[in-house]
Amino acid sequence: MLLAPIEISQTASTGAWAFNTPKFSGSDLRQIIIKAATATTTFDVTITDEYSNEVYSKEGNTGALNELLYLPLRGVYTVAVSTSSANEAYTGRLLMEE
Amino acid sequence: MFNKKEIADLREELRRLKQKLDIVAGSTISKEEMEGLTNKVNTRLLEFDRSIQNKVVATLLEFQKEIYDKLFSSVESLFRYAKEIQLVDTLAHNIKDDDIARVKSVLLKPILEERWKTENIEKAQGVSENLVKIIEKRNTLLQDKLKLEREGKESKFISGQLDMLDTIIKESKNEKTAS
Repeated sequence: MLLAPIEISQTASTGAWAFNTPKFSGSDLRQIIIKAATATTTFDVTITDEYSNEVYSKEGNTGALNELLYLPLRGVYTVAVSTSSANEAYTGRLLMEE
Repeated sequence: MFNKKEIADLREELRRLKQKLDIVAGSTISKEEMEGLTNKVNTRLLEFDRSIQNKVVATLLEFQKEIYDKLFSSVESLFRYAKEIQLVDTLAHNIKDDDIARVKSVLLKPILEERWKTENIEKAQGVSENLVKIIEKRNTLLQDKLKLEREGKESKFISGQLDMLDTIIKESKNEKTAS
């Protein structure tokens, strides 16, 4: 099993941030960790595929999101945080199984 | 229930009447006078009885009303609690943490969006109304760029516009800070 991380380091502007992943030819997203700088910050997380399908959505997170997944990925995806209650730095990582 | 003073007054009056009767008993008194005094005593005793009865009935009615009020209030509370318990019990079995988070998010979303549109941009960052529009346009362009990149399409023309808008935003913020 080969695990490849994608590090996240973003700053929210007007309560949101987003970035595109590299292109996957066939991987599984096994873990998603997104942490806001403040433990009380609330935010929504979405992952959208190339056909604008929302393949993952987790709303109403507070402080951090840490979830184990088994999400097949192919192509470029957008990882986005929206309706963040504070404009602040976010860190985290996506762990991909290839 | 009874006024102590009233009872004391009545007792005093009865005592005085009894004294008068004693005095009368020791002296010669006509039959009419004796009947008059006896009637007076009897009348006062009857008034006292009636007064006691009225007060007892009034007090009992008041007490009954108070008890009924409390009883109805308790029954109403009981029904309300039973309803709430039933509701909580039903929800507890059907609502998951995710649902609560979703509800929270839905409720917060318009508030936060409005906040970021107005308060945060204008006040916290101290930028003008025009700049707010530029920032909104920049966010829309960023979404378009991300979409095009996902679809593997050309996005350089948007990147150029984005860079330009980023420069304008940065310069405007610097100007605001300097002034």
